[in-house]
Amino acid sequence: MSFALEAAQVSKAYGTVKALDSLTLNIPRGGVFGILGPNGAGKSTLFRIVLGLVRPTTGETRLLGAPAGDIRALRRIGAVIETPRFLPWLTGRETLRMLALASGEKAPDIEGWLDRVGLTDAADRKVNGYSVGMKQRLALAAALLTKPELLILDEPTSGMDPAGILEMRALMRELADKDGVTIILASHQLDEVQRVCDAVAILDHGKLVAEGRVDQLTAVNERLRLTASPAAKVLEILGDRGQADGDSAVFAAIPRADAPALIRALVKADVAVTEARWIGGDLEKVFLSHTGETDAG
Amino acid sequence: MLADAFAAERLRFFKARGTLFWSLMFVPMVSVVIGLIQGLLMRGLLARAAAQGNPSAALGREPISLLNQCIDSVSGSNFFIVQLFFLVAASAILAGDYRWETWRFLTPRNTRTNLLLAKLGVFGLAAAIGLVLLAVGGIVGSLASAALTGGGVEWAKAGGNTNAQLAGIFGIAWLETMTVGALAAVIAVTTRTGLAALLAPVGVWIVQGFALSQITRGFENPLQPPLQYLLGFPALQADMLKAALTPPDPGMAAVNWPVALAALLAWIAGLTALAVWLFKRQDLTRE
Repeated sequence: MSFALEAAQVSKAYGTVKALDSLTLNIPRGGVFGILGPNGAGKSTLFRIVLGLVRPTTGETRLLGAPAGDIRALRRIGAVIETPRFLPWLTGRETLRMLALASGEKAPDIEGWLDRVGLTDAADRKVNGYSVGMKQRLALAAALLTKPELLILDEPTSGMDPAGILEMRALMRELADKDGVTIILASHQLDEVQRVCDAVAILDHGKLVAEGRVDQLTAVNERLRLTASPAAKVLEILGDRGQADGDSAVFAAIPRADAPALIRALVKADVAVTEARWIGGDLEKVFLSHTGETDAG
Repeated sequence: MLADAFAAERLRFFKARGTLFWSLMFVPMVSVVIGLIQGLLMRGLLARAAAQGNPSAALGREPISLLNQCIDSVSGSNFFIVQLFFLVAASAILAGDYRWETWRFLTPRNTRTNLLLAKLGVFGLAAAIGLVLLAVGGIVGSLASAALTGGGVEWAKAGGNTNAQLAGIFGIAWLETMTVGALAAVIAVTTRTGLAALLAPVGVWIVQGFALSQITRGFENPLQPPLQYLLGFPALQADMLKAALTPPDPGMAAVNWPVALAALLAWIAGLTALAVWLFKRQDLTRE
């Protein structure tokens, strides 16, 4: 199996503070992979190491099969890490031109990417006057200029308005599904990760504490809420897997695969099911159970 | 790859209007203004001398050699205040990415060696343009002065400096400026601050000038300095190269210009290599 990112026993210490602690993580190519973790978990440090901005204290990382910092591999990736900063005297268009030149990109589709991230109208304004959200969009356009195989995004929607967030999420999925770009996304917004990502890794104190497909991780806490009459009959059928929720609803602690059989059994038993809805199963519970944090930040 | 990094660096530098003004335009503009003031003062003095029937009034209207003005202007670029303005460009180019936290966008696009060499290359280009503008400023100032005094101008005086000497002075001044630029690169990478890259090289240059003024007093022949001093002081190397452009007086030994040139180039190469070595090993945790 080929990996987009490989980290083997990677540690990074800043003085006495361990940002990464023997982290081993392999992120496969294809789809959107989320990296979650509280502040100081090591997400940004991991990104900085694979991008060659900092060197690990110990361990090895590889990007698209090449050692971290290999310029040929780096040119096949795009990255937006932390709050984007640009040279304030350049316009958006000049910024992209300058970065394309630095990459050796001879025919960059600057207009196309400006349009795709919604910055065409502001392209000739100085970056100094851009909002945080506009800078995020410009950073994304800059990352995509070289038509990367892998896109590393650190909090790509921070500072964006709700419409911008939705556009960004749609763009990420489009890039992964239609253009075949592998995306590694670090975000504090668990809801965003759950909506966009196919798989996630959770880091805490520089270590990997959980990893897997989003649907598999969230299935652990998922329950089917049935509004049905008579509810007592539902509880009787479910046995110890059932739990009453008021007079007319029942929580069923069953795997998704068992849901059709349960519904059939209820119908056969003359139970009138008026609503069936999966609840819980959100990434937040998974995150909290592994990190003990009160939020994802 | 290096050409790509150079093209990117050149684009961003020539879009920074404030830096361009202070690093390249300001000193030539001042020299034009000084030429105008000199012309006005001279005009007043000549008018007074003429009114008094003083024959020196005619001397003041002797043709000015523009070539000499160019040589004086370019040669004077090693004055620390002029270097300070060149260092405005060096500081912006070499320390800008630390200040604006933009390394993270550049380092994945080219090698660190290429990125830093491209910066020094663009500083070299800026220094060359700055020296040309200094020469142009000297010419414009002289023309303005001549226009005000009614004096004539000529490119070169018979038996005076030659175009080849101007080219030589230009090359030496450029190398001397590049030495300061390479020193600024080391300081920018080490300190990650533009202010240090701006001021520290000037400080080093002032200390060097002061040390040389003390040391050279003990030389038997100022044109034949002991080798350790010739190798150790870039400003002395530049002085020796400038002296070599003038034919030696009869009976005087020629200046050892090959050693001076090699040493000056070695200083530039050594400081550049040190800056690249430091930069390649640097964690860019906070640009």
